[in-house]
Amino acid sequence: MLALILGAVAQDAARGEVLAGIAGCAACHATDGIWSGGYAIETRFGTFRGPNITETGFSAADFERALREGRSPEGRAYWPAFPYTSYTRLGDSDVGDLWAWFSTLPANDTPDRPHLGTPPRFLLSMWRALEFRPGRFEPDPEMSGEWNRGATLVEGPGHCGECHTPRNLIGGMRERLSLRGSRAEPEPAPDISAGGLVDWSDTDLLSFFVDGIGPDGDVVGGAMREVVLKGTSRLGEEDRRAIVTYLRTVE
Amino acid sequence: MRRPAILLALCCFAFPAQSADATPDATVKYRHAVMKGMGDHLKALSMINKGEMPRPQDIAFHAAAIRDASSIAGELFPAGTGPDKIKTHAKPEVWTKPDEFKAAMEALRTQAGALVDLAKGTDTAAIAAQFGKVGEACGKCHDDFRVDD
Repeated sequence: MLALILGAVAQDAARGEVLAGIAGCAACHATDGIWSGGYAIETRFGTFRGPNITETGFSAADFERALREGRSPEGRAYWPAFPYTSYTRLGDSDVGDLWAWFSTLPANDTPDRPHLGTPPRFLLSMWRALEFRPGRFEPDPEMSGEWNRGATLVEGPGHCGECHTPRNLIGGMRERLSLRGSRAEPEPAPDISAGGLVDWSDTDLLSFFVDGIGPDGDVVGGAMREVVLKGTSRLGEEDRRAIVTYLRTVE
Repeated sequence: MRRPAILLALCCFAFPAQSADATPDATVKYRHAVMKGMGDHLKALSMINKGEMPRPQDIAFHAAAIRDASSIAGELFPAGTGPDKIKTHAKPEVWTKPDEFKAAMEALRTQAGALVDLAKGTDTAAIAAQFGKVGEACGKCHDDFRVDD
Protein backbone atom coordinates (compact mmCIF):
# COMPACT_ATOMS: atom_id res chain seq x y z
CA MET A 1 0.00 0.00 0.00
CA LEU A 2 2.64 2.48 0.97
CA ALA A 3 4.72 3.74 -1.85
CA LEU A 4 7.78 4.58 0.23
CA ILE A 5 8.60 7.13 -2.36
CA LEU A 6 9.91 9.74 -0.04
CA GLY A 7 13.56 9.09 -0.66
CA ALA A 8 13.10 9.21 -4.39
CA VAL A 9 11.23 12.51 -4.62
CA ALA A 10 12.89 15.88 -4.30
CA GLN A 11 11.59 17.44 -1.12
CA ASP A 12 10.86 21.09 -0.80
CA ALA A 13 10.16 22.32 2.72
CA ALA A 14 9.02 25.73 1.47
CA ARG A 15 6.43 24.11 -0.77
CA GLY A 16 5.53 21.86 2.15
CA GLU A 17 4.84 24.89 4.29
CA VAL A 18 2.50 26.26 1.64
CA LEU A 19 0.69 22.92 1.45
CA ALA A 20 0.51 22.72 5.24
CA GLY A 21 -1.14 26.14 5.05
CA ILE A 22 -4.04 24.97 2.92
CA ALA A 23 -4.10 21.67 4.78
CA GLY A 24 -4.81 23.77 7.86
CA CYS A 25 -2.37 21.80 10.05
CA ALA A 26 -1.89 24.79 12.34
CA ALA A 27 -5.62 25.14 12.97
CA CYS A 28 -5.59 22.07 15.23
CA HIS A 29 -1.92 21.45 15.94
CA ALA A 30 -0.76 24.95 16.81
CA THR A 31 -1.95 27.63 19.19
CA ASP A 32 -0.79 31.19 18.64
CA GLY A 33 2.01 30.01 16.38
CA ILE A 34 3.36 27.40 18.82
CA TRP A 35 3.03 23.81 17.66
CA SER A 36 1.67 22.58 20.96
CA GLY A 37 -1.60 21.12 19.71
CA GLY A 38 -4.64 21.44 21.87
CA TYR A 39 -7.30 22.92 19.63
CA ALA A 40 -10.65 21.24 20.30
CA ILE A 41 -12.97 20.31 17.45
CA GLU A 42 -16.40 19.90 18.93
CA THR A 43 -18.60 17.50 16.99
CA ARG A 44 -21.66 15.46 17.77
CA PHE A 45 -19.30 12.48 17.91
CA GLY A 46 -17.19 13.93 20.68
CA THR A 47 -14.58 16.60 21.29
CA PHE A 48 -11.32 15.97 19.50
CA ARG A 49 -8.12 17.72 20.51
CA GLY A 50 -5.27 18.13 18.08
CA PRO A 51 -2.14 16.47 19.49
CA ASN A 52 1.33 17.98 19.67
CA ILE A 53 2.96 16.82 16.42
CA THR A 54 6.48 18.04 17.09
CA GLU A 55 7.78 15.07 19.04
CA THR A 56 6.15 12.15 17.34
CA GLY A 57 9.37 10.37 16.48
CA PHE A 58 7.77 9.61 13.12
CA SER A 59 9.83 8.21 10.31
CA ALA A 60 9.02 9.38 6.78
CA ALA A 61 7.03 6.18 6.30
CA ASP A 62 5.11 6.76 9.56
CA PHE A 63 4.28 10.25 8.39
CA GLU A 64 3.01 9.03 5.04
CA ARG A 65 0.98 6.31 6.69
CA ALA A 66 -0.69 8.83 9.01
CA LEU A 67 -1.72 10.97 6.07
CA ARG A 68 -2.63 8.25 3.60
CA GLU A 69 -4.10 5.61 5.88
CA GLY A 70 -5.07 7.53 9.00
CA ARG A 71 -3.08 5.18 11.23
CA SER A 72 -0.43 5.72 13.88
CA PRO A 73 2.94 3.96 13.57
CA GLU A 74 1.49 1.27 15.90
CA GLY A 75 -1.38 0.76 13.47
CA ARG A 76 -3.99 2.43 15.63
CA ALA A 77 -6.70 4.21 13.62
CA TYR A 78 -7.06 7.95 14.03
CA TRP A 79 -10.43 9.60 14.46
CA PRO A 80 -11.37 11.33 11.23
CA ALA A 81 -11.49 14.75 12.89
CA PHE A 82 -7.96 14.49 11.49
CA PRO A 83 -9.07 14.71 7.85
CA TYR A 84 -7.02 11.86 6.42
CA THR A 85 -10.17 11.12 4.43
CA SER A 86 -8.89 13.97 2.23
CA TYR A 87 -5.14 13.84 2.86
CA THR A 88 -5.12 10.32 1.47
CA ARG A 89 -5.57 11.99 -1.95
CA LEU A 90 -2.24 13.86 -1.66
CA GLY A 91 0.18 13.45 -4.53
CA ASP A 92 3.50 11.75 -3.82
CA SER A 93 5.52 14.92 -4.22
CA ASP A 94 3.07 16.71 -1.89
CA VAL A 95 3.70 14.17 0.84
CA GLY A 96 7.45 14.53 0.31
CA ASP A 97 7.25 18.31 0.57
CA LEU A 98 5.05 18.12 3.66
CA TRP A 99 7.52 15.72 5.27
CA ALA A 100 10.37 18.12 4.57
CA TRP A 101 8.38 20.90 6.23
CA PHE A 102 7.22 18.69 9.11
CA SER A 103 10.82 17.84 9.91
CA THR A 104 11.57 21.54 10.43
CA LEU A 105 8.93 22.12 13.14
CA PRO A 106 10.53 23.35 16.35
CA ALA A 107 10.08 20.81 19.14
CA ASN A 108 7.63 21.54 21.89
CA ASP A 109 7.00 19.37 24.93
CA THR A 110 3.37 20.26 25.62
CA PRO A 111 1.57 17.02 26.55
CA ASP A 112 -1.43 15.92 24.48
CA ARG A 113 -4.85 16.47 25.92
CA PRO A 114 -7.28 13.58 25.60
CA HIS A 115 -10.34 13.53 23.35
CA LEU A 116 -13.64 13.64 25.19
CA GLY A 117 -16.88 11.74 24.72
CA THR A 118 -15.74 9.72 21.73
CA PRO A 119 -17.73 6.67 20.61
CA PRO A 120 -16.36 3.16 21.33
CA ARG A 121 -13.38 2.40 19.09
CA PHE A 122 -14.99 -0.54 17.27
CA LEU A 123 -17.40 1.96 15.75
CA LEU A 124 -14.40 3.76 14.31
CA SER A 125 -13.33 0.58 12.51
CA MET A 126 -16.84 0.16 11.15
CA TRP A 127 -16.94 3.79 10.12
CA ARG A 128 -13.64 3.47 8.29
CA ALA A 129 -14.85 0.38 6.47
CA LEU A 130 -17.95 2.22 5.31
CA GLU A 131 -16.73 5.75 4.74
CA PHE A 132 -12.97 5.88 4.23
CA ARG A 133 -11.69 5.27 0.72
CA PRO A 134 -7.92 5.45 0.90
CA GLY A 135 -5.93 6.19 -2.21
CA ARG A 136 -4.05 9.03 -3.81
CA PHE A 137 -5.64 11.30 -6.37
CA GLU A 138 -5.21 9.74 -9.78
CA PRO A 139 -4.74 12.39 -12.47
CA ASP A 140 -7.29 12.30 -15.27
CA PRO A 141 -5.34 12.13 -18.56
CA GLU A 142 -8.34 13.55 -20.43
CA MET A 143 -8.11 16.79 -18.47
CA SER A 144 -5.48 19.53 -18.55
CA GLY A 145 -2.49 19.68 -16.25
CA GLU A 146 -4.00 22.75 -14.64
CA TRP A 147 -7.28 20.97 -13.92
CA ASN A 148 -5.45 18.02 -12.41
CA ARG A 149 -3.36 20.31 -10.23
CA GLY A 150 -6.53 22.04 -9.03
CA ALA A 151 -8.26 18.75 -8.35
CA THR A 152 -5.33 17.49 -6.29
CA LEU A 153 -5.23 20.69 -4.25
CA VAL A 154 -8.98 20.73 -3.60
CA GLU A 155 -9.42 17.02 -2.88
CA GLY A 156 -6.12 16.46 -1.07
CA PRO A 157 -4.39 19.10 1.06
CA GLY A 158 -7.17 21.68 0.64
CA HIS A 159 -9.66 19.17 2.12
CA CYS A 160 -12.43 21.51 0.94
CA GLY A 161 -15.03 18.75 1.03
CA GLU A 162 -14.60 18.26 4.78
CA CYS A 163 -16.78 21.36 5.24
CA HIS A 164 -18.35 21.96 1.82
CA THR A 165 -19.62 18.43 1.18
CA PRO A 166 -22.77 17.44 3.06
CA ARG A 167 -22.40 14.52 5.45
CA ASN A 168 -24.62 11.51 6.02
CA LEU A 169 -26.04 10.41 9.35
CA ILE A 170 -22.82 8.78 10.49
CA GLY A 171 -20.73 11.74 9.43
CA GLY A 172 -19.36 10.39 6.15
CA MET A 173 -19.03 12.71 3.18
CA ARG A 174 -21.76 12.20 0.59
CA GLU A 175 -19.59 11.85 -2.47
CA ARG A 176 -22.41 12.28 -4.96
CA LEU A 177 -22.99 15.73 -3.50
CA SER A 178 -19.32 16.61 -3.44
CA LEU A 179 -18.72 20.31 -2.63
CA ARG A 180 -22.42 21.10 -2.91
CA GLY A 181 -22.54 22.84 0.46
CA SER A 182 -23.36 21.71 3.96
CA ARG A 183 -25.70 23.01 6.63
CA ALA A 184 -23.73 21.32 9.39
CA GLU A 185 -23.44 23.33 12.59
CA PRO A 186 -21.54 25.17 13.88
CA GLU A 187 -19.97 26.10 10.56
CA PRO A 188 -22.32 25.73 7.61
CA ALA A 189 -20.45 26.00 4.30
CA PRO A 190 -21.81 27.13 0.93
CA ASP A 191 -22.08 25.24 -2.34
CA ILE A 192 -18.77 25.65 -4.18
CA SER A 193 -19.54 23.32 -7.09
CA ALA A 194 -19.90 24.92 -10.52
CA GLY A 195 -23.59 25.57 -9.86
CA GLY A 196 -22.95 27.29 -6.55
CA LEU A 197 -20.37 29.62 -8.05
CA VAL A 198 -22.35 30.95 -11.03
CA ASP A 199 -22.46 34.42 -9.53
CA TRP A 200 -18.70 34.45 -8.97
CA SER A 201 -16.43 35.37 -11.89
CA ASP A 202 -12.93 33.90 -12.08
CA THR A 203 -11.62 37.27 -10.95
CA ASP A 204 -14.01 37.23 -7.98
CA LEU A 205 -12.73 33.83 -6.89
CA LEU A 206 -9.06 34.62 -7.41
CA SER A 207 -9.48 37.83 -5.52
CA PHE A 208 -11.41 36.15 -2.68
CA PHE A 209 -8.61 33.62 -2.27
CA VAL A 210 -6.22 36.53 -1.69
CA ASP A 211 -8.12 38.98 0.50
CA GLY A 212 -11.24 37.12 1.64
CA ILE A 213 -13.53 39.74 0.12
CA GLY A 214 -16.40 38.33 -1.90
CA PRO A 215 -17.99 39.87 -5.00
CA ASP A 216 -20.58 41.65 -2.82
CA GLY A 217 -17.88 43.16 -0.61
CA ASP A 218 -18.54 40.76 2.21
CA VAL A 219 -15.45 39.86 4.22
CA VAL A 220 -15.28 36.23 5.16
CA GLY A 221 -15.22 35.21 8.83
CA GLY A 222 -15.16 31.88 10.63
CA ALA A 223 -13.10 28.90 9.53
CA MET A 224 -12.88 30.09 5.93
CA ARG A 225 -11.11 33.22 7.10
CA GLU A 226 -8.30 31.00 8.41
CA VAL A 227 -8.32 29.09 5.14
CA VAL A 228 -7.80 32.31 3.20
CA LEU A 229 -5.29 33.91 5.56
CA LYS A 230 -3.11 30.86 6.12
CA GLY A 231 -3.94 28.86 3.02
CA THR A 232 -5.16 30.16 -0.31
CA SER A 233 -3.53 33.60 0.02
CA ARG A 234 -0.12 31.94 0.38
CA LEU A 235 -0.50 29.75 -2.67
CA GLY A 236 0.97 30.86 -5.96
CA GLU A 237 -1.36 32.49 -8.48
CA GLU A 238 -1.06 29.39 -10.69
CA ASP A 239 -2.34 27.19 -7.89
CA ARG A 240 -5.26 29.50 -7.27
CA ARG A 241 -6.11 29.47 -10.97
CA ALA A 242 -5.91 25.68 -10.98
CA ILE A 243 -8.37 25.52 -8.09
CA VAL A 244 -10.81 27.77 -9.95
CA THR A 245 -10.45 25.69 -13.11
CA TYR A 246 -11.26 22.54 -11.17
CA LEU A 247 -14.18 23.97 -9.17
CA ARG A 248 -15.81 25.15 -12.42
CA THR A 249 -16.13 21.52 -13.49
CA VAL A 250 -17.54 20.07 -10.26
CA GLU A 251 -21.18 19.25 -10.93
CA MET B 1 -45.12 83.75 19.93
CA ARG B 2 -47.03 80.60 19.01
CA ARG B 3 -45.11 80.05 15.81
CA PRO B 4 -42.01 78.29 17.22
CA ALA B 5 -44.22 75.88 19.09
CA ILE B 6 -46.15 75.04 15.94
CA LEU B 7 -42.92 74.53 14.02
CA LEU B 8 -41.67 72.26 16.74
CA ALA B 9 -44.85 70.25 16.61
CA LEU B 10 -44.57 69.97 12.84
CA CYS B 11 -41.02 68.75 13.13
CA CYS B 12 -42.15 65.98 15.40
CA PHE B 13 -44.54 64.81 12.72
CA ALA B 14 -41.99 65.19 9.99
CA PHE B 15 -39.43 62.93 11.74
CA PRO B 16 -41.50 60.47 13.71
CA ALA B 17 -38.71 57.89 13.79
CA GLN B 18 -36.76 60.11 16.12
CA SER B 19 -39.29 59.90 18.86
CA ALA B 20 -40.60 56.34 18.44
CA ASP B 21 -38.49 53.17 18.72
CA ALA B 22 -37.93 51.20 15.54
CA THR B 23 -39.35 47.69 15.41
CA PRO B 24 -36.77 44.89 15.73
CA ASP B 25 -37.57 43.91 12.13
CA ALA B 26 -36.81 47.36 10.85
CA THR B 27 -33.65 47.59 12.95
CA VAL B 28 -32.33 44.32 11.57
CA LYS B 29 -33.20 45.31 7.99
CA TYR B 30 -31.59 48.71 8.47
CA ARG B 31 -28.40 47.42 10.04
CA HIS B 32 -28.15 44.85 7.27
CA ALA B 33 -28.35 47.70 4.76
CA VAL B 34 -25.66 49.64 6.63
CA MET B 35 -23.36 46.60 6.83
CA LYS B 36 -23.98 45.81 3.18
CA GLY B 37 -23.13 49.39 2.32
CA MET B 38 -19.81 49.05 4.12
CA GLY B 39 -19.18 45.86 2.18
CA ASP B 40 -19.85 47.61 -1.11
CA HIS B 41 -17.37 50.35 -0.28
CA LEU B 42 -14.82 47.72 0.73
CA LYS B 43 -15.35 45.90 -2.54
CA ALA B 44 -14.85 49.18 -4.40
CA LEU B 45 -11.61 49.72 -2.47
CA SER B 46 -10.50 46.21 -3.30
CA MET B 47 -11.02 46.86 -7.04
CA ILE B 48 -9.01 50.06 -6.82
CA ASN B 49 -6.34 48.34 -4.75
CA LYS B 50 -5.93 45.61 -7.36
CA GLY B 51 -5.75 48.12 -10.17
CA GLU B 52 -8.90 46.77 -11.80
CA MET B 53 -10.37 50.23 -11.36
CA PRO B 54 -7.76 52.97 -11.62
CA ARG B 55 -9.50 55.54 -9.42
CA PRO B 56 -7.17 56.17 -6.48
CA GLN B 57 -8.84 59.56 -6.07
CA ASP B 58 -11.90 57.69 -4.69
CA ILE B 59 -10.08 55.87 -1.89
CA ALA B 60 -10.63 58.59 0.71
CA PHE B 61 -14.35 58.69 -0.08
CA HIS B 62 -14.84 54.93 0.32
CA ALA B 63 -12.69 54.80 3.44
CA ALA B 64 -14.59 57.69 5.02
CA ALA B 65 -17.90 55.99 4.21
CA ILE B 66 -16.73 52.83 6.00
CA ARG B 67 -15.42 54.84 8.94
CA ASP B 68 -18.72 56.70 9.37
CA ALA B 69 -20.89 53.64 8.76
CA SER B 70 -19.00 51.76 11.46
CA SER B 71 -20.02 54.40 13.99
CA ILE B 72 -23.64 54.02 12.97
CA ALA B 73 -23.49 50.24 12.86
CA GLY B 74 -22.29 50.11 16.45
CA GLU B 75 -25.58 51.67 17.53
CA LEU B 76 -27.77 49.24 15.63
CA PHE B 77 -27.61 46.23 17.94
CA PRO B 78 -30.12 47.09 20.68
CA ALA B 79 -31.48 44.46 23.07
CA GLY B 80 -34.20 42.38 21.45
CA THR B 81 -32.52 42.15 18.04
CA GLY B 82 -30.36 39.10 18.74
CA PRO B 83 -30.71 35.54 17.41
CA ASP B 84 -32.83 34.52 20.40
CA LYS B 85 -35.51 36.97 19.27
CA ILE B 86 -35.22 37.37 15.52
CA LYS B 87 -33.56 35.90 12.44
CA THR B 88 -30.09 37.42 12.28
CA HIS B 89 -26.55 36.34 11.56
CA ALA B 90 -25.35 38.29 14.56
CA LYS B 91 -23.99 35.97 17.26
CA PRO B 92 -25.23 36.19 20.87
CA GLU B 93 -21.70 37.41 21.75
CA VAL B 94 -22.67 40.85 20.41
CA TRP B 95 -24.87 41.16 23.49
CA THR B 96 -22.96 38.98 25.94
CA LYS B 97 -19.59 40.65 25.24
CA PRO B 98 -20.66 44.21 24.50
CA ASP B 99 -17.29 45.73 25.36
CA GLU B 100 -15.43 43.46 22.97
CA PHE B 101 -17.98 44.10 20.26
CA LYS B 102 -17.67 47.83 20.76
CA ALA B 103 -13.89 47.54 20.59
CA ALA B 104 -14.11 45.57 17.34
CA MET B 105 -16.28 48.26 15.75
CA GLU B 106 -13.96 50.93 17.10
CA ALA B 107 -10.99 49.08 15.56
CA LEU B 108 -12.67 49.26 12.16
CA ARG B 109 -13.38 52.95 12.65
CA THR B 110 -9.73 53.58 13.53
CA GLN B 111 -8.35 51.57 10.61
CA ALA B 112 -10.73 53.13 8.09
CA GLY B 113 -9.90 56.57 9.49
CA ALA B 114 -6.20 55.88 9.04
CA LEU B 115 -6.90 54.96 5.42
CA VAL B 116 -8.72 58.25 4.88
CA ASP B 117 -5.62 60.08 6.12
CA LEU B 118 -3.19 58.02 4.04
CA ALA B 119 -5.32 58.44 0.92
CA LYS B 120 -4.56 62.17 1.02
CA GLY B 121 -0.90 61.33 0.37
CA THR B 122 0.83 59.36 -2.34
CA ASP B 123 2.41 56.46 -0.44
CA THR B 124 0.72 53.69 -2.42
CA ALA B 125 2.44 50.90 -0.49
CA ALA B 126 1.18 52.31 2.80
CA ILE B 127 -2.30 52.74 1.33
CA ALA B 128 -2.37 49.14 0.11
CA ALA B 129 -1.18 47.90 3.52
CA GLN B 130 -3.78 50.00 5.31
CA PHE B 131 -6.49 48.65 3.01
CA GLY B 132 -5.46 45.19 4.19
CA LYS B 133 -5.89 46.31 7.80
CA VAL B 134 -9.41 47.58 7.11
CA GLY B 135 -10.33 44.21 5.59
CA GLU B 136 -8.75 42.48 8.58
CA ALA B 137 -10.84 44.53 11.00
CA CYS B 138 -14.01 43.51 9.12
CA GLY B 139 -13.02 39.86 9.08
CA LYS B 140 -11.96 39.78 12.71
CA CYS B 141 -15.33 41.08 13.82
CA HIS B 142 -17.21 38.69 11.52
CA ASP B 143 -15.13 35.91 13.01
CA ASP B 144 -16.21 36.64 16.56
CA PHE B 145 -19.62 38.19 16.16
CA ARG B 146 -21.26 36.85 13.00
CA VAL B 147 -22.35 33.44 11.78
CA ASP B 148 -21.12 32.90 8.24
CA ASP B 149 -23.01 30.76 5.80
